Order: sequence, then structure tokens, then C-alpha cells
Amino acid sequence: MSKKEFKQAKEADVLVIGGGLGGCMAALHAHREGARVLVVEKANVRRSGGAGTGNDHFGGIVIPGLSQWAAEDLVRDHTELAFGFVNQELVYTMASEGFDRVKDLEKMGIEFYKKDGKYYLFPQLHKVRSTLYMGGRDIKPKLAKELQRQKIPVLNRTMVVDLLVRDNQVVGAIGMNTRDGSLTLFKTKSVVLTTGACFRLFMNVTGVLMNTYYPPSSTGDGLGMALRAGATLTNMEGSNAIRGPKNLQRAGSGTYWPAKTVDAQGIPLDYPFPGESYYRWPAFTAGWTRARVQEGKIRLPVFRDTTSLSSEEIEFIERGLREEGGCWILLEWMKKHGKNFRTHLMEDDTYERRVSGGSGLFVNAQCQSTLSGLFAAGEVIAGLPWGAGPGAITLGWKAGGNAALHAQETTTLEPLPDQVENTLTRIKSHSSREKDLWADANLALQRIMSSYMGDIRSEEGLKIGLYRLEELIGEWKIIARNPHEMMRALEIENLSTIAKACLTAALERRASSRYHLHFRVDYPEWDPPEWKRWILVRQRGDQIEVEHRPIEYKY
Amino acid sequence: MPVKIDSSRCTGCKLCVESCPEDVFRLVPNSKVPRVARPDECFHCGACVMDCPEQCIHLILPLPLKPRFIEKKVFNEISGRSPEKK
Repeated sequence: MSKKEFKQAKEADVLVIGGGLGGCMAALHAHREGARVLVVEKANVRRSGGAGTGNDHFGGIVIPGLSQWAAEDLVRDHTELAFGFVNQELVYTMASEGFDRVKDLEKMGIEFYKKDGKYYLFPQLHKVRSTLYMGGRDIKPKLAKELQRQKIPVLNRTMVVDLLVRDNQVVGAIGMNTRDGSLTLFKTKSVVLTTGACFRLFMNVTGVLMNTYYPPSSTGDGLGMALRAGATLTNMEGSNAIRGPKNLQRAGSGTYWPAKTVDAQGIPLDYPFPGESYYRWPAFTAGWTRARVQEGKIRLPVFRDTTSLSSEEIEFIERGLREEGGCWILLEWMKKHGKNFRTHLMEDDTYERRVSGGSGLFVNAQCQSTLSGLFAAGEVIAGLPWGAGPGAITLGWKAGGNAALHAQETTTLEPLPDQVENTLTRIKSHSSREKDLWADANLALQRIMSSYMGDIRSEEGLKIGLYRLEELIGEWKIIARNPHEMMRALEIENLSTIAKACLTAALERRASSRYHLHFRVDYPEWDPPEWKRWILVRQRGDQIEVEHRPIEYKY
Repeated sequence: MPVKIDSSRCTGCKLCVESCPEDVFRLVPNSKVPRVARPDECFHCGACVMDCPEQCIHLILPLPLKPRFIEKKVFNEISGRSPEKK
């Protein structure tokens, strides 16, 4: 191994990769357990991740003495919503430990909305009220401050390029500074992977490459590195497509819950589960809306009609939008342009798919992956759909604690020189001598995913998709004239690695599945019971291996 | 440009440069005001605006990103929905 390639080497007990909500909570817990923690973040922990500019709700939790349901009931409801594709133990952790984390966040100065002195729960995901309103506009600067206060070191603007593995045990990682290009060799006893969701894999419905509702730099880097390291992923045939304001892509669809959703004829939409809470809708958007439109039951476009709401309900929506990531921009724009929730309807759109919220790293109840020492939480893990912020916060905390315990029983191992060399070669393959711009490579990849892995899928189409993917990977030469472009080039490589896993899993699921937004025209029957099982994928060399596994239900 | 910095009020604290999740800004020699070096990579999250202590950064939504609203009266006319119906 050529040591001179590295500007520095750093050692930790627990290396946290990704400093969003999940990563910050993992770092705080591991630190409390006495581990030497190091957080590595591609952007800056101050405003990074899906909640970088805010998060207004904290859902799917039980508050003793206040909630109508016990954690077990929430788990069963969550399972039903996801057609059974959940890891019930992860959902249980979120439901039962969520309130403890609320108290942790309160100590850091994050306020939760109360009415008449009691926590105010509102309905979002579940049939009963299980979501708290949060003053989360500055949740990230507050968490960053807490890391600083506890003297937990953070390495910002550093993209982890690869994990280093020996005998199925994670021993380190290689990081690249995205501003000066310098490389760091990390040696560690355990890793918490909290790199978030995977965006920019499918064509953006607005035609604007970087118009995503989470940071466009959320390219599922953790999934790319986990696949290369040999870890197992699941649900990769599935993807999530949410609905939100037309053109300016924003999350927080639950924030509008008092609003009516109407079609172009003004007819209130008949939800898949009539009379039930608003949030049951987004899971079905792409497939369900398409079918309803073709049957003539819905005429597009769809609007959020707030015009008949009470002042209290409108204030509720506006307060949420001020706290939810980047949504204040919508409010400011409305004010400036004379638009008002009392007098105007907001047009909606269904956004392109993203891989997250249930798809990703296959972990057990302890947040451990199939590799020893590799823990994960947040949107990068499978089995916890719609976990979002609360999922990241509760399981991040859990993963951090478990990673610290693992580190206590592990000794530091030297990384294998060949592996280090492989990663260095991969980095060097992008240089100023190459020809393809990263944005062009990204669009070409998105074109494949949206063409062959869109709303209507078939064995032949998916096979051609895989063929086109290999063709594209064989021909692109992505240019990197500076470290920033190198980061973008490496993101595209991660996306292409993930794309292969997605296409392979979609080929393997020979059934249509509403949860996965997976319609196979050659297997048109929806949700045959024998297909209620995980399809696991893992990379061995250039090949993706597939395995089927039954889903275990404890509740 | 998706982001505009009022150079008369910018003190050069660089907090926007640090906060931006996409690293859109770049410091330029002999200037305290950062440059919007990668406008195509801005996703209009507003982190820079939120963090600017001088409140001298403004976001400009490009045409394809403008949200779309419709007046209730106009919607009722197009949709054929009766205005009384709630």
C-alpha cells in the first residue's frame, strides 16, 4: 500500500459515516458508551442530510398516558400499511423509544408543540394520533452544537469512497476531502452507516437534475459502498414516490393533513382506505393514481384544497411549513406573489421515485448488517418505511450504542493493501483527461432507470435495462477536473452500482407488488401471498447474487 | 443565479460557504463576498439564507421551479365545481 497517497490516517472505535439526524444520534450514544467516535460528513453537519433545513414532525411514536395505542398496535398498523414488508422490531424500536429521544432533543433546545400543557399528537401515518409537532427548523445546527459541546470530532466535506473489510469484518474506510482532494485512511472497530436516501437515480419529473426534496448529494453512497463491501441489501425492487407541491420539490406531505385533496373536477379523492388518515395516500401515489386516472375516476392534476379550512387549521399548516425543510421558501413565495391558502388551491405533482424508506441495507433488530461491525440506521436501511426523521433519530441512537458495544469486543485490524489499492485505482480512473460530464452521465443513467424500471415492468424490459446499464458503464469516462467533480463522479458510480442491484431485484420479483410500486405486466396479479418475502441481493465480484427469505412477524 | 448576495451588506463571515450542502459557493481571492460558483447544483434548500447573520442572501426560484397555485374562483369555473360546495 502506498502510504504517501494518504494525507492522514485516523483511528476510531466507531466511525460514523454521514452526519445527518441518524449519524448525529449514533455519535452521541456511542460517545456516551465511552467509544472514541469520529463523524465523517460529505457536506457540513450544520445543514446536512434530509433534515438539513428542518423537520416539523416526529411520528409513529407512543407517549405513555397520552397515546390511544400501545407500541404493538402501531407496529401492526405499520405492517398492514406496508403490505407486510417491514422489519417489525425496527418499527417497535421507533414506536417504543421515540419518546425517550424526544426528551433528548428537548434538552438540546428543540421544542415540541403542546396544547393545554400536553404534548399535541396529530394523525399522520397511522389510524390514531401518533405524530408530534416539532420546532425543528434548526435541529441540525443544534445537533452539530451538541457534538461540539461533547467534543466529538467531525470531519466535514469528506466523502467516504469505500469501506475496507477483512474476513467479513469492517476494519476501515477511505475518505476524500471534496475541496482539496486529500485522502484519509480510517481504521476502525465498527462503522455506523447513516448516509441517507438515494436520490437522482430516476429522471426528475421537472426535468431539473438537482431539484430534489432532500439534498441532491444524497445519492445512496452508503448503499454503493455496502454493495462493494459485500453486504446484503433488500427491497431494492421497490421505490417510493411521494406527492408534493408542483415544481418546487419539497417533502413534508403530512404537514398538509387538514387539507382536502381534490382532482381537476374538484372531486375529493377517494383514498385507498376511505375515511382514514391522509398519510396512507403517498405510498400508493404512482401506481394507484395511474390506475385511477386510466379508469377515468381521477382527472389530473390534483390540488390541495385548503380554501374551506378553519383559521386554526391553516395556521397549523403554515406553522409546519416554517419548520419543515426548505418549505418556508414556499410560504415566502406565496406571500410575495399574493397567493394564500384561504383563497388559492395548491397544485400537486407526483415526484419521481427514490430508493429509500424501506429499501436498503438488510439489518437485524440491533441495526447490524450482514457484515460484522457494520451497523446502519436512517433511510439507508430496509424494513422501516416512512421512518424518515424519527426512524433516523431512534435507530441512529440504537445503532451508535450497539456499534460502541461491538467495538469493546474487537481489536483494530490493518486494512488489506489490495483493497486500498483498488479504491485508489477507482479514484484515479476519473481525471481531467476524460470526456463525459458527471451531469450527462447522471442523465444517461436516469434514462435507463426510468425507461426500464418505471411504472410498467417486464422480464424482457428489465433484462434490456441491465444490458443498457452494462453498456453505459462500459462506455462512460467521467471527467473530474477538481475534487468537487471527483465527488460527483463517485456519486454517479454509486448510483450505477445501486441501479444494478435494483434491476436485478426487480427481475427476481416475479409478481406485482403494491408496496414496491412494482407492476410486472408479465405477472399482473397484485400481491400473491407466496411473494410476501424479502428478496436479498449482494454483490460478489461483478455479479449480483439473489436470495429469498421469509419475513418474520413477532407482533 | 439561484442565489444573490447583497455585496454591500455581506461582511464576509463565510457561514453560507460552510453551510451549503451542495458546496455551491466558492471563496475568491481579494473579495470578501463568496461567489455562486455552481448555480446548477443549488436545490433551493435555503440553508444559506437561514444562516446568514446579515440576512443579505436572497433566493431566486428559476421558472421551472415556481410553485403553481390557482384562485378558488378560477378553479371552480374550470372544474365545474359549485362554489357553495365545500
